[in-house]
Amino acid sequence: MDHAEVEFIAENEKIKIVPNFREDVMYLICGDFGPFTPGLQIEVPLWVAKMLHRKQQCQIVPPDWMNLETFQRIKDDEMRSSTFTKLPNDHFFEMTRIIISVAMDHLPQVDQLRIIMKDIENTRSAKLRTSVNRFIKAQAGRAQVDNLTRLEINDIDGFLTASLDEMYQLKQTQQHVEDRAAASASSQD
Amino acid sequence: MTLEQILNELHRAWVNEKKSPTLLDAKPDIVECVLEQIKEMENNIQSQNEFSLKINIHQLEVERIRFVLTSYLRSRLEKLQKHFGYFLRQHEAGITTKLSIKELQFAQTISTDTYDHLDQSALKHMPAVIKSIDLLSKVPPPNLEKYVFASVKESVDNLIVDPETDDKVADAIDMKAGEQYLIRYKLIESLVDNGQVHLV
Repeated sequence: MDHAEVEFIAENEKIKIVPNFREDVMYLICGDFGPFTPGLQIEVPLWVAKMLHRKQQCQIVPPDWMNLETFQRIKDDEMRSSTFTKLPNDHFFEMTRIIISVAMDHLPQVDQLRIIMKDIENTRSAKLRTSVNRFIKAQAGRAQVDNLTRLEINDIDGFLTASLDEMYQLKQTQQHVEDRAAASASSQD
Repeated sequence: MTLEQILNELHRAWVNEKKSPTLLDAKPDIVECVLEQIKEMENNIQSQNEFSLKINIHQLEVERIRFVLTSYLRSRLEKLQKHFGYFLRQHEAGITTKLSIKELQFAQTISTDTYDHLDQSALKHMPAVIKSIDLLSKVPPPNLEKYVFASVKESVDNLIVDPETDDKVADAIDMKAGEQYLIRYKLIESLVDNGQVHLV
């Protein structure tokens, strides 16, 4: 799965907007949304919000967790903890990125948010690298990866799983050879 | 099921299919229903000639749904093409939920065409004994031991992660809803099939 597809999935998340047009209820296949009244907040899927914003028909309202204090707290938690913390949303990075890019003009402290998000991303990424290292050295058969977002999983998926598959094959072959050696040794006794 | 639920099912099936090394159960009902909805919506859009915001949004939705549907079907076809022998044998052995009617026909066509091609280009000129090769069994099967990322939807108790051997007892774990694991596909294959676990 590539990055764009992960973002595609994130675009199904609901988000609040303030439309500047009037329209009746829209009966989309994925649900009913509306009616649209200028100035009144309403919830729509992120992809609808993106399109409306591109046509300058709405303002996107950032989710409750998208503010400097929350981001700073997340960053501190992440740096303090040796495991991965639970982010406020499954699509934290994708949504933040999209909203920052479309709401640049009326989102306060956009640059700082972006910097803190990058820090959070880097911290988690470093933790992931060390975890993977430890996992491989321990030759464990499985790992628990709660609190990893889909985006992060997707980033390491191809490479990590392919390497693990190879290692497993090698281990199986080695086991096979050892078993055969043991069997022939015991049959000679 | 509501339309929204059907769409969610399609999305779930799409991601599962992309991440799984083997074919999951075919979902002809979901595919048919979604296809019908797309056609109906497209007809509605065509019949309204003016370009309004509403129409644009409906159009965009149709494009998005079509993307997921085609990606899902294409992912299945890719796997089917790579391991047609394995899936045909599975079907003959009685496991008939994996292939839709058209997919079964597709697999059979590949099988016949491949055999004909090999026959024409090489087998024909070889000693008769080689002609008795069972083609279906020579096609490499999918790698069920592939590592995948899985998210637990319904708690699972006592999942065997290390089968019992002469030296040791079986090792089993409990997986609670909401947890995510990096694990070999074979161990959770049945859980993915019945929806207790999703691939990520």
